[in-house]
Amino acid sequence: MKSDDIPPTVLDLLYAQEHQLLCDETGRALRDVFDANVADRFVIETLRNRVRNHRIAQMFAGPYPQPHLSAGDFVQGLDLKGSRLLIPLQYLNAHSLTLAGSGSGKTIKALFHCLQIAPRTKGCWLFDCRKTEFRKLKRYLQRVGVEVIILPVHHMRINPLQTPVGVTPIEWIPRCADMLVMVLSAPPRASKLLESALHRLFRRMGVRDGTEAHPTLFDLIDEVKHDRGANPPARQAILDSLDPLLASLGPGVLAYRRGWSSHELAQLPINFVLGGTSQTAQNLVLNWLLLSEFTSRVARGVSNPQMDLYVSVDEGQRLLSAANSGHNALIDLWPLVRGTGLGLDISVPTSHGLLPEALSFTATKYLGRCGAAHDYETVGRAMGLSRAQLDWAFHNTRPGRFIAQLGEGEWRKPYVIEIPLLRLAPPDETIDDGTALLDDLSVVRADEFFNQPASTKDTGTAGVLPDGSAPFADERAYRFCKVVIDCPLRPSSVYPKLVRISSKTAVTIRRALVAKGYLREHTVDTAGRGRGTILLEATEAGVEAVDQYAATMGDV
Amino acid sequence: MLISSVLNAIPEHSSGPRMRGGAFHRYLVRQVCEVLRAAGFDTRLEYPRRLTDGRIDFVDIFAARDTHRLACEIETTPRYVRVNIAKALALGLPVFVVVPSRRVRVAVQRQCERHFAGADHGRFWILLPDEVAQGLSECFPGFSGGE
Repeated sequence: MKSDDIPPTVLDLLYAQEHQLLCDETGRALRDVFDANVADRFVIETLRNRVRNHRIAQMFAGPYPQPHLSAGDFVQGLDLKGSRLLIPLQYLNAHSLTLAGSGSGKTIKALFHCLQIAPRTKGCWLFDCRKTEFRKLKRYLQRVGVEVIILPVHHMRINPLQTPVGVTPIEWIPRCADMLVMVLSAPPRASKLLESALHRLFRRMGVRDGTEAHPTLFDLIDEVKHDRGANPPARQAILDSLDPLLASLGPGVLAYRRGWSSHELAQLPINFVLGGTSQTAQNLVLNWLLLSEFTSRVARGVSNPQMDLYVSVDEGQRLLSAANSGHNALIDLWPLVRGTGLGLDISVPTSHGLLPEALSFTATKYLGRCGAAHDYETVGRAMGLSRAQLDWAFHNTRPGRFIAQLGEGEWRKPYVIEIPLLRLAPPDETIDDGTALLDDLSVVRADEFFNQPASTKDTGTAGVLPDGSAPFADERAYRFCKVVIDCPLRPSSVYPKLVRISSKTAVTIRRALVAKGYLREHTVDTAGRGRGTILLEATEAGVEAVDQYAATMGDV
Repeated sequence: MLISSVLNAIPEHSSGPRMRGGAFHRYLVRQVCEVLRAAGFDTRLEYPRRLTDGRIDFVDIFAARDTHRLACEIETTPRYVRVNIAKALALGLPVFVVVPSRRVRVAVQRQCERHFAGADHGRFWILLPDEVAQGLSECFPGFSGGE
């Protein structure tokens, strides 16, 4: 039917219906009158005025419709006129994705939302993958009675092999193996190797019979090392990747028969500070926490409860990376976790390398200012933006302004939101980080690994002290520490040349020595932007360890 | 040069303890001294100063060139900054508070805003080590730099 054949009143009615102009009391009354076919001139005029006013307002508003979001207990942001956009908090009980380039206000949006959410959920996990932004919230949330725990990776006590609450070991082992393959960037074949190694370890330690003492990653590397019949490239890939990971985090983080469980941590507001450690270590912590909690919730059959855990991952492209996606154990659980009381918000700076499923599984999306048209096109297509809307977004997004689309509720059309600029004071270094609250969580240490060198590669008996412990993982670590003692407070980039090792190796050794308390790092910033220079200084423990090692080796 | 002669009359370390602080503190002191000397200043480490209660305390660096004089405090953490700045301000000289990183600077600035009156704010500068030379031009307008 041509639109010319349709009476103007019907077109007005259709327009009003499409733009939800009849949702209020008067609107419903108008609708009833039209349904009963008793509309008089007054009713028709009232409808026409509504439609005309909306059309005029829409012409000023641009290609995005004015959202009807005025009921709820969560301020999502402001519309272009500065009015608050309200939605129910429970709309966030799912996944949301924010794609916006650097400096476009992703972090401010996350902070603005977290300020409102943290006081109303039992647990809140705020991941700082690179920057340390969420730490700023601590003092503000303290005022409303939320004691956020600032938790650097090196203070954690975890066992990534530990079976999550409600999950059977048989169910957990393949997921855990896949997670390790992804985290370690190992070849696909390594998945099977790890799986069978885990089965052997779990059986040997009686985990499958119900004992709580789990094997650790240190047991796993030993198991793989002694599995001579395994596929050599896969075995070597695991050893090569796992060894620096263990050296980086050390037994203080990973050598626990029973570590903190994700279930316990999900009851607390925690800011995980992942910066300052290796990429692999960051990936392990992030993936383990989420996978463990996802698996636990799915296994426990939690369905459609109130949101009790909110997770915000700033710069979280590593979670949604297309690389090694065949072994992304999280993606498998992604759609199942929606509605299990867990709200997950991930921000990424670009769609380049983004797992395609990420767009499908996240119904709520935010598109901010991006650096490339490709990003607008990719996410715009996923949000169903028209050409005019895309063009508007391309030319009009700016820091703090996003195109949003909700995954819940009746209003599914994309709309524009602006996030108010938050001027949060920098984090107060003198405030207690609150990690003492985690001391109540019970752990069972694997004591035998606490006296071992950080690296589990064969070091022979060289440098082993009479009590069986070794102050240094290998001779290079000893040389590194000795050079720092001889030439203190030089930039960290100078030492690889002095020790005659590669820069990459030097970073691993340096971190291990800092973790052991042998070296101390001092940062000196320059007036310009960018990272500061790291100066190294040996501690008394470092000097002592070098003396002990030298005495044992006869190098005095 | 009256000031130089006064400075020379004070034997280094003789009236105060050896340079205090850890190795990193001493490293920063040396860096700042080099910048000040390059700008033609005479520097004196651990400059003694009598407090109102009669005790002697020390500022990290006292620098002087002609009529220009200033005190420098090196702060690797914000822990003692309030006491140290108050002590240096009591000398009646401009004070350079040199901090290693932007993070420490923010913490120091916050403490200063909390504890010092507005009038004192124009009397001290919180600087990174490589901002000291620039700080000299701001502190002493017309200062030419160099010997």
